[in-house]
Amino acid sequence: MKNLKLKSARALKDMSQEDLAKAVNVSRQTINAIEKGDYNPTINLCIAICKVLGVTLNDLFWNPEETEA
Amino acid sequence: MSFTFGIGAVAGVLSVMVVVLIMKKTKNKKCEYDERQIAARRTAFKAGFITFVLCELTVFLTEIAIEEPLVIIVPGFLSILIILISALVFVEVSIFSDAYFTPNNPCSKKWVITMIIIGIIAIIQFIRQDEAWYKYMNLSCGSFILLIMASVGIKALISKRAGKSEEESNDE
Repeated sequence: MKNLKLKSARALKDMSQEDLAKAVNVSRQTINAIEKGDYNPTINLCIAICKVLGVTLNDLFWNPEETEA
Repeated sequence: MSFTFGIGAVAGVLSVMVVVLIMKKTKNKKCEYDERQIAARRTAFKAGFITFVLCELTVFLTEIAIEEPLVIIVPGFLSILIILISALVFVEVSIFSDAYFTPNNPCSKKWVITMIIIGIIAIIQFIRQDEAWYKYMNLSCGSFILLIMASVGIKALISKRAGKSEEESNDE
């Protein structure tokens, strides 16, 4: 499942995938895989991404629809 | 086993130990893979190991069927070939899952050019040598390096195209 929240939060900060990848010290392909839903990041990486983008874990990685189901 | 072979083997093991110790002490950031890459490399290693086991099993069963040792060029060369094939599988899977280069040490043109030159030199050595059995070692290693470099090139092209389409989708 695509992580559109991450994509929009990144766009809101005017950051490219490359910029975000450098900020959290991972490869651009890893950020791309997270956005495409191909890879589930560890909690450490999630926190690092949230810190850089200035949002909470709930904002980016919590899907209420999924948990209700 | 000759004395010089023994010295060479010990020197090889010692040099690898020294390199590993230096890498651990300096904690070189350039050599650190990210978590997705580590997971991808695990899968790649598994693929390489399975290839190795399957190749060895095939050779073993063939030897039983023909009731004599399977020899290609010289005894032992087949084992080297199997190791090269397994390593190739590991490297190819790593390349195509974007886990061959670390985030802090991306693929550089200088490195690719150097490796291509080394590969071509190995192939030229294969053509130049007439009788020596080890000319086939040059052929195997040269092809191994050139194949990896070709894959790096193909992957770079695929990533470039994927990057372009991604930019277009972001613009929409």
